[in-house]
Amino acid sequence: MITILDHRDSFTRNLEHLLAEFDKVQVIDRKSISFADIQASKMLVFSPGPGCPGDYPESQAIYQEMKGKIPMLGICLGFQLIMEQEGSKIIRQNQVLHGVESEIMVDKKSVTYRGVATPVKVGRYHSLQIDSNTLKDLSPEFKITSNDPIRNVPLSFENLKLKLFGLQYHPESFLSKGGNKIISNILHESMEQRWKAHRSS
Amino acid sequence: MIKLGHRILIKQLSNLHANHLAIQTVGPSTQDLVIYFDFEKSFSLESPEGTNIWEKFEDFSSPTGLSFSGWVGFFGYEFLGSQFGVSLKAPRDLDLPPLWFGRPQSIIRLESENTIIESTDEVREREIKKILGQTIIPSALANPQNPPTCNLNFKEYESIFKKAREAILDGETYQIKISQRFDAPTRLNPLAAFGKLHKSNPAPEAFLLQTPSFAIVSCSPETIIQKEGRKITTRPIGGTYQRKDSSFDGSVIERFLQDPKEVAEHNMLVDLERNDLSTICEQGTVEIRKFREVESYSHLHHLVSTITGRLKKGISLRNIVQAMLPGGSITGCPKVRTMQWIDQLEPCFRGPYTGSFGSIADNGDIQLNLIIRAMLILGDHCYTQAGGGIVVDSTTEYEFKENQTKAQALLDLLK
Repeated sequence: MITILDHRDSFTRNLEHLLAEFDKVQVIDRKSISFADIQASKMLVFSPGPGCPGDYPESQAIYQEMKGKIPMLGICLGFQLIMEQEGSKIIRQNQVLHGVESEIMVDKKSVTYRGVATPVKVGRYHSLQIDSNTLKDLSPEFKITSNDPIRNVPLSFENLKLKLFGLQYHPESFLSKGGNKIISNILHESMEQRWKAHRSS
Repeated sequence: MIKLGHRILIKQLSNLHANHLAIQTVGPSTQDLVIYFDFEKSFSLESPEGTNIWEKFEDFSSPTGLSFSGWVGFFGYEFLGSQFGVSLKAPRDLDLPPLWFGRPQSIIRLESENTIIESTDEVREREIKKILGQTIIPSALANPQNPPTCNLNFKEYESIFKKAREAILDGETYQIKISQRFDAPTRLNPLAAFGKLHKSNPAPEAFLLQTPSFAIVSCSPETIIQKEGRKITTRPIGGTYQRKDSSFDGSVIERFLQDPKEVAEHNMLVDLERNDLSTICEQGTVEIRKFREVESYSHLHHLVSTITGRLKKGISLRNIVQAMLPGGSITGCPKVRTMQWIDQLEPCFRGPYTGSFGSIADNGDIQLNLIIRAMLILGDHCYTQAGGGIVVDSTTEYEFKENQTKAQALLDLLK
């Protein structure tokens, strides 16, 4: 079971259908989620949503509580929420992108983009971004795996030790052709035996 | 059932002197109309957050046995908002119900060269045939007193626009639809107005709803819910270009399809509608059937996509309405937060505007539209509301003017 923590976004159900290709999925509002809901999950996904991470203290608390105990994936707002909790700053973008198909620069050696066909084109919906000047404050286990080719905008990260992943863009958008493969990579990495052994030790 | 063998004129319907009358565009041709009247068991609500009305739609105790048996009417925007979980506070400054539905006992189908009369009562069928054959007493279309006014002048619109833009820069909303209301102190004849509008501006979801206290006349181009069996279809419109001279259609359409702002706006709407369908459809069944096609109307070109899905088992009318309405093309994205912003920014409630009109059949089939390009006729006044999507690249002058263009087909009725 994968649990999506919903921030009342208008793209959450697309994400649900994409993830449902791999496992059972439940969508629960971030205000009504219980510890039992989370414990029953193999992965917790922080949905996209309006506003900034500071608008969602419940989600911030859940992230801190569950970090290292369960694989987690943040999409768009969820990506920013994890990055901000890890010490980077959120700022307005110079160029706001909503509904834009954009080719991105990816680290082909990363787990997230293993075997993903290039060029990687994704659908982007974001006003805010991670301030790339604050990436140095992240712990070295967090690796930025893609960037905007023109502006210095970090677009995804992975932390293989703690099984934390984030995508600034929308893999569930019809504009993201490789979204399925990217999600498959992340889920596969999260479910592997090594991680289970690590958790139980 | 009586077939006349020729198509009657819309104005001939005035002889029916019906208290309540609805006209819906059906089928592939914008010329195919169904007229519903002799309503029974109609209902409305006092407040948009009123009691549960859904069980009323499930009362199948009196099937009409006609080619349509079910409910016809409209849901207002505020009722749909409350069903969606967003309580809207804007002042209800016009007096009309938040929704109205009724069960027609007589219908007339207008086809290209035929008129079909059906009624639950055979005596009534013959009576209708006789009435339609009588001489028409001409009625004036409009009685204009003064030119229309708008609830937002440019400065006021500009101030709202700036706030909306800041909200976009903060990620509060990705696109927000802000509308203006035009008010004309004119008494308009609803049936005559529909006849004129249908002639000048035939549209796939054009309709009339006439009641003793209010009427709505519209040339809506947008279907939000078409359900047959378990197949559900939506045809969102996002992206608008002005159409001044049809001889330039070719090059204007080419520019339209390459305009990054219009394309992004439409992409967002496609993802939004995929999302809404995914709420009620089986996993893997939501598909984009037609993508970004251009449809041209008298004053405008639009970008339209067609998205379909197969409903999960056990999905009710209420589930469908809550998932799909209000339509994303008239709120913006994401819906909840954006509707809250609209409620703060727009000076008045929307009422029927951006609500939904249509038919809900006893067999579960649904045809519901978005109430846009519509004139609300209320006593000695009529009102039309028009709005557009504000995105980060929008400019105030352009959007303000586009709203005027969208209202124009309706304001032309007053001339």
